Amino acid sequence: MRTIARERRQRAIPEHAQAAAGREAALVAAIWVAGLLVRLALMPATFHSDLYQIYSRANDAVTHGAWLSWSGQVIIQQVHNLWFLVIERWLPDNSAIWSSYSGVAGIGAQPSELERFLSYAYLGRALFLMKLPYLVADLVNGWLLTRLVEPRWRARVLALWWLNPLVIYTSMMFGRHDSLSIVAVLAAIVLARRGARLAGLILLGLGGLARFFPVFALPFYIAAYRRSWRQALLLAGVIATLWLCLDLTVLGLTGQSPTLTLLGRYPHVRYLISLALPVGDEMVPLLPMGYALLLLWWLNRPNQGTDAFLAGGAATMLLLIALMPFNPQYAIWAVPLLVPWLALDSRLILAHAAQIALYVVWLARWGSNVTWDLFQPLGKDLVERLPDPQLVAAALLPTEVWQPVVRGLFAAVTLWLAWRVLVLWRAGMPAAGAAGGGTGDHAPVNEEQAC
Amino acid sequence: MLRAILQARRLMRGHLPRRSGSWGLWPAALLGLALYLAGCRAPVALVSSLPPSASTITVYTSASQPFYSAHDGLRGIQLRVNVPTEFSPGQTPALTGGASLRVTYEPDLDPRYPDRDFYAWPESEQWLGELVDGRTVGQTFRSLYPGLNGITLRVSTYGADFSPGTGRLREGQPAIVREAPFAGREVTVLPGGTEVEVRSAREGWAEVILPDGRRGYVDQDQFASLPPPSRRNTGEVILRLYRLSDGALLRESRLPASTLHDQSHVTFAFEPLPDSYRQEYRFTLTAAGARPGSAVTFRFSPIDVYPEGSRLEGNGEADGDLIFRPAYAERMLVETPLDQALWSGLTGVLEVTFEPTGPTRDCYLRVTIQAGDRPVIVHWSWIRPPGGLPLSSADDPGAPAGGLVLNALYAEDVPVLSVLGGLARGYARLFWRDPWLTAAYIAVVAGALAWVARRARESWSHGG
Repeated sequence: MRTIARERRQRAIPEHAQAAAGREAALVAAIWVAGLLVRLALMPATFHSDLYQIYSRANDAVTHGAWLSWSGQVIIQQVHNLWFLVIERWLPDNSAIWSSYSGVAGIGAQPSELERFLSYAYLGRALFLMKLPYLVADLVNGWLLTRLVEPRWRARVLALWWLNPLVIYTSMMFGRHDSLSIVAVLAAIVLARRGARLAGLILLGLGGLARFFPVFALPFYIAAYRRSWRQALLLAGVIATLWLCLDLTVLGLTGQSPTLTLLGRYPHVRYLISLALPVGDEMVPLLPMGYALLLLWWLNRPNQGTDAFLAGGAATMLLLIALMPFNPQYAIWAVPLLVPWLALDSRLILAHAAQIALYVVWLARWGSNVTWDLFQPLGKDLVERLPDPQLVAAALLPTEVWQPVVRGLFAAVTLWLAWRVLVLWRAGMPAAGAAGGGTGDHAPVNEEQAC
Repeated sequence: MLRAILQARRLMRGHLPRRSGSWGLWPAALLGLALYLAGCRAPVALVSSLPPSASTITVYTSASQPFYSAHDGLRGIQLRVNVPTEFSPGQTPALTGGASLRVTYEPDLDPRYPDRDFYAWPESEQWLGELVDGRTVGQTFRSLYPGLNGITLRVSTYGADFSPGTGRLREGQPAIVREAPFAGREVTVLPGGTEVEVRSAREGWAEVILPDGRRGYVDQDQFASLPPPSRRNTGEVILRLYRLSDGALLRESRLPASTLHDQSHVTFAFEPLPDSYRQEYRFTLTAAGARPGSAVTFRFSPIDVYPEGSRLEGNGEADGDLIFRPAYAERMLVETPLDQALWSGLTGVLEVTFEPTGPTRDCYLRVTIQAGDRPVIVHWSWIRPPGGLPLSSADDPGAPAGGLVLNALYAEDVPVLSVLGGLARGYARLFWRDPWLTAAYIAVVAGALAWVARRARESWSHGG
């Protein structure tokens, strides 16, 4: 019966449309499979010690009950703890392979512990299982992005995410969990489009608790999916109150304020203000200034709907990557909200390709640690025979020349992308288009009525 | 290589249908050429950036800097110097006024052999006991430099230099008393002809006790008379060097036991082995004509202080290691005039380049700057080059404890094919050890390929 119904439906669609749909489906399938094969090839063969450390802490949590001992990234650590509970039964004799020092802030996994892990008989399986959540997250992100755009852009958007070297490097080569938080951000948008704004907000908040990047998109979300300004302000007040309550509760329980701990000890706060212009004997940090300017400018425009959020969010993420010192794994945040805009304009794709190329060169700044050393599961002696990219670059050009030039170009291309995204949005180019038929996008609520 | 690529391109053109334009094989050829070139030599620097200068030293005669060289194919040295901008009439404008730069091996500073500190006699080390006729001791080791020409060990003669008692210095020759033999700090100067209490010998120096209770060392040659020795050692000590892989005897060196000093370093010298870089050897020590009571002994560590080799006793391995250090014939890697170097106004360094030389991987090298007609002003930094050793200046023994601001450039061979083979072996190892993972991969990959093939077939069936 189902076959007959399908045939009838197909008869109703013109042949050329069927052919185009078939080609599109084959292309999408090819993209999915190509990305999957690349990821499968990398999963058991590469990792950064960050991956080992987060699972070592998960082992501490599960075996010693130290579920809250690592305070740096509580939410994302809990996700890993739970996943470790699931996978440990498939890792025979794994008790001796984990680090005892990963949970000690400022010390971390010792070389001898890493050696032990590398000599584990089921190393390939361990790495595969440890990275599996990131593979799923990448996959879900790809699917969510295709839900955000018009059907004709889906293959392009999927390719731009799923085959993106930045994404593959971060999730699969480096073995970094940022893709999990990106799921929260993209799912929040999809939920908001379908009218579940509050659920989306909660997801975005969770994403922000896991990694600090989504926190900067929060004001854009509240404003873009508001019913009225009064509601937006109320929501902002509720969030601030909730945070204050959380802060006071933790302060009461532990004697330490999370806010002050974050501001006083978390190195990323320093990153946010590290680029500053001297004004007399004062310093004006560029990122907070740029972010505030962007937000104020954006708030001053008609800014409801997914396009508005995607534009503001993408520009914010690009601003963060351009104007603060970043570790290699952070660059993935430049991608997810940018992808729907890249699909609209080939020039943006070229600029993004240039951004990736500059990023790859910039990786040399960290040397073998984030390049050849990632391949240690394939043989440590093999990796040690390859020259350190940092030293290769230094032999070609003085470091004080090539690093500022590459970083400057990377920041320029990244900022240009942010600017082009805002221009496209202002020009009314629909990144999210009519896909999904969400409630907020194409029928903005009349503020007068809502109030 | 280029010719081979062009020939391959012509051949392919003959057999493959010609496409519009002539771009078909160029990308592949260029990629092949890039891979070939990249696979041959990679430029590598010693450090990623030069350290900040603390100040400068003026080199009137020479200054040098040892460093650990991690790469092969040394092809250049960058040195931060001040170059003159004005020249007096008649003076030839030259960057350094005829200065030159030398690079040599510095095996004596390599800390990877058990004899790490010439002056240290730690209590954790012990003497082997008399090396008498019929006893064989030895050690395996890896030579880290070319030109192996000796083995230095620590020997004791059980008081064969002199007995404790009173010695008398030579008339008219004041003797410097030092805290340690050779280069120890000066304690005092004793007038010639002084009688002084001597206790023991070390490195051919006598340990003296001054009237005020202080101790020090005086060269035994400064003494007109010393108490008679407690014993006289007889016979010869024989060192034989074998190649470890096949046991072939390569060199032999003999020293009469009577010429050895108590508690001293002794080098068994032999003809240099030019190809000793990264080769493994075994040496043995035996005695001929040495009876109990007239034999010497050698120093060893009962704990393993040299993981690259093992101590030998008789025909078998024993715990610990002999305290030894290989000796090498001096070999100049590079000597080049500094005036021909390139000056960078951007970084303030002189860069001198030369044909790649070596081997220089995993070695300690020394860069020496020899001044020419005028002094050279060289920058130094509190951050020393890799290896962590301080600079030294012939003009100023009290030179700063930092390092010269320098970088070394290399053209290192990268074995691309071997690395690719290693990658393949690494993958094979990962999957070979875990059949479940292999099965899961085969299933997932086959499923994914089948799915995409079905989609493609559907697309074609719709005329796509």
